[in-house]
Amino acid sequence: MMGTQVELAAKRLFDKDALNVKNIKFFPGTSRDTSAEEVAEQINKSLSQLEAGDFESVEID
Amino acid sequence: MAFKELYKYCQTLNPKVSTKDIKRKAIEITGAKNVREIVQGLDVTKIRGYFLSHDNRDSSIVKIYGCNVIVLARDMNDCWKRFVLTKELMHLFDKADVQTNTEVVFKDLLSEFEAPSPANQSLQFKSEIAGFWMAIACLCPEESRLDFIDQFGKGHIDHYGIALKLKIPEQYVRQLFRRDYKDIIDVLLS
Repeated sequence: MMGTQVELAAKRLFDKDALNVKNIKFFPGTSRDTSAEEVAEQINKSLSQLEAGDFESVEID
Repeated sequence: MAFKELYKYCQTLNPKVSTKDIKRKAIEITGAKNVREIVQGLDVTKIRGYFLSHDNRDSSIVKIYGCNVIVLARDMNDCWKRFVLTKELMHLFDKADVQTNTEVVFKDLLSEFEAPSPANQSLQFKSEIAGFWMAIACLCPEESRLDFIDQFGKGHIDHYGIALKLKIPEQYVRQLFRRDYKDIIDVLLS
């Protein structure tokens, strides 16, 4: 049984009437002790910021 | 395999390999719609970045950013941003069976990052690993890699110096010296 943040992220990403995501992949952080809940929490915060148009667009070279 | 075409293209480049060039070529080869790079205040101890591909036209995210978004943690230096961006760009090459496209495989993938299984690695997790090595192969053309190994053997350069020339995280330079490096690349190209 996954926790609240994982469940929330899963719904936001994959519900047909939500984002209906085709693919999501991750690059892990510096801490090996990071839990699925903590990663999902970051995704949820990030999605909220994206939806709110709160972003900094860059072009890395 | 489509990645082979990108790999061949990258062999014609010299360090530092431009991530703009990699991105442009990857989009050209895969026929993907444009990819938008976003920098956000992600907690870099938990996640350095992620790739998101979706096509819900009613979504505000699609309207603002398009169908493919790569989010990068702001608290990374340029070498890390280049590497994470390149690794995530490699997921444009993901075939349908390795895509994380359901709740079930998403949860499985999160669990595998928490504690990888020695028994049944998912195709999605294997694709994360492949993306890492594809990024290394793109950012360090083989001719340059062999030259660095030669220079290192002669004591003319150290890992830090190589990292500066490639503009990649220093900790990954060690991977260029692995005995099984060519085997890994051969798997990616097969």
